[in-house]
Amino acid sequence: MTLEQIGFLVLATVTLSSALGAVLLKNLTHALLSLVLSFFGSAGLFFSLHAEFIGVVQILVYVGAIAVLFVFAIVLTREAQGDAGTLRHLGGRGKILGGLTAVVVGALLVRMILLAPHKLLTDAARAQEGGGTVGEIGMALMTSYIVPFEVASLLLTAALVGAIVIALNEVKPAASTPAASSPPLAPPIGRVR
Amino acid sequence: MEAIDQIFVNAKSFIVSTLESLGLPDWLTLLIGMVLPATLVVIVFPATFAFLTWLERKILGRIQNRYGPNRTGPWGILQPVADGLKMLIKEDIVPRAADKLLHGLAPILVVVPAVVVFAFLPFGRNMVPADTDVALLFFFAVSSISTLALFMAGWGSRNKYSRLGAMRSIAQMISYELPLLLAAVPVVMIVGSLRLTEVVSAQATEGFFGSFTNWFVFTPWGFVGFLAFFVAGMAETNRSPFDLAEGESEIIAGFHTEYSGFKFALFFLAEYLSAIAMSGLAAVLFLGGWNGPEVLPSWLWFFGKIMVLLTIMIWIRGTFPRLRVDQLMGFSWKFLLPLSLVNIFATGVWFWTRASIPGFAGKAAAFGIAAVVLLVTYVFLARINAGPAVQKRTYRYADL
Repeated sequence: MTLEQIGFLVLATVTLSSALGAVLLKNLTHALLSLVLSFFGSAGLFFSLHAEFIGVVQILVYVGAIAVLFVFAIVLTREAQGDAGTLRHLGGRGKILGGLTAVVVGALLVRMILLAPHKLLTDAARAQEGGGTVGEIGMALMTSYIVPFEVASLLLTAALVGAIVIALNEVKPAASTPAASSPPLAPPIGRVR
Repeated sequence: MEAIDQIFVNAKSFIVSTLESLGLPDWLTLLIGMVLPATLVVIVFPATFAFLTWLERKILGRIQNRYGPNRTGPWGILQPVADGLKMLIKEDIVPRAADKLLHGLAPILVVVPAVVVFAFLPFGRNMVPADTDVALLFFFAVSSISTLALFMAGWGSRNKYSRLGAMRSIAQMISYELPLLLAAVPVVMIVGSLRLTEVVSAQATEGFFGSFTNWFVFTPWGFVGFLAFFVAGMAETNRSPFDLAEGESEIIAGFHTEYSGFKFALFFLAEYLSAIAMSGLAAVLFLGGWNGPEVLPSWLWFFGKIMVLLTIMIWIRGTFPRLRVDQLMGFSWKFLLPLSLVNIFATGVWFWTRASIPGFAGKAAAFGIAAVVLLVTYVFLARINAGPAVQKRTYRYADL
């Protein structure tokens, strides 16, 4: 067994077991941190495939942004305090649906892996020898894949604007219903004659 | 000068070649070659941290018209040693209700990214521990991990102040990560690489006086980018006046309320290490890295720049009051973010004007246009962000 294979086995074990932990752990915070570990594992897999840029972006986006978003959701949700037992588990129907989704996604992934050309690996290794993959990824994004790139950025901008609009939606109490307006003010304190 | 400049590089290659001649296997010499710079980083920067705590207390003392530490050794220079000893022999207290795993893991996880980011900084000519083509992104990716460590500390402690502090620090870190990244983008646009050694060599020129004219801070976009980067970097490392996450007048000590002894010292260490690393990255991106007039070796230039930036951080800490939470968010989202976005635009204009008009005229036009664009943006943003004008305070009795 070569060094690369041992590295792959270690990374794959870490990724898979922590991904399982993310699903199975009872404590929400522990599940989240387990998910983060699995993100790191997949970043490590990218590094071992000589795709440094993708690995770094994996850490930057998934650990630096998406996991932090989850953290925000946990911190701001009153119900899920992260204690064991606060997580509601799926019933029988949910389990079947979830299992079906997992099987479909898994099958699609296997199909994609089988479809991928085998020379991808050697190409990536050669690109890493010749000064890195960042330049080539940038060129591809700006030439052959410019339309998907722009569409994706437009979509993200729309989502951003939508989020701001939802957050801005402060319903002001109507002037015609004085009963629903501000509660009676407390008497001013400290005014002594 | 050449010999002093390359002293560390030569020492490393000497050690490695000696080991090779001793007949060690290849993988072992390779490993030692990798471990040597890492060891140096792990020794030098915590030492800088110790010195920095002393310097900070001394400078803050001077700013506040007092002496600062002056009992241990000459000028109190041994104060960090006494502090470290005190931290080591203190009792380690873990709250009964705490999540033991997260509470124990957090101080370690907060130090690891703070140390790892030093691997990507070029400390001098031919002196960079890990020279990858994504070094800049690596730096940001690794430093973004510390957000999660702070969350673990605040969450695992089971203390309302810890939790509030963790929440504040997460909100602050994701708000300031954006302007931080965007302020670094113009440099990448001009250099055309994420490799930090290339960023440094793009700012190099020949000659004695010419050796600092090429620093990016002397261009309009570089100046704005440097200021935005420095401010966002200070917020990112929780330095005062952005230290709401541990605002002691409101939430005791924020996320590290429940830590004592050496675990507390680790949080302290991580904060200072990331401040040093952020100053180092600012020096690499905008202040020419290790470039400078050749009267000093390159690594000394780099350290000097870091120390100057850290002193400015301490100076700012001694001068400004802590920001309020809405001011903090508003400053990032309504001022720094639009400014860095316009800065990217100005960099593009600067680049294309220089490329399309040859000679000095093109350079002057590029400088002028970029400066005007940025100045107008700055004035506009400052106007719309200005709060209601402060009314003149009248004192009924004091003015008599």
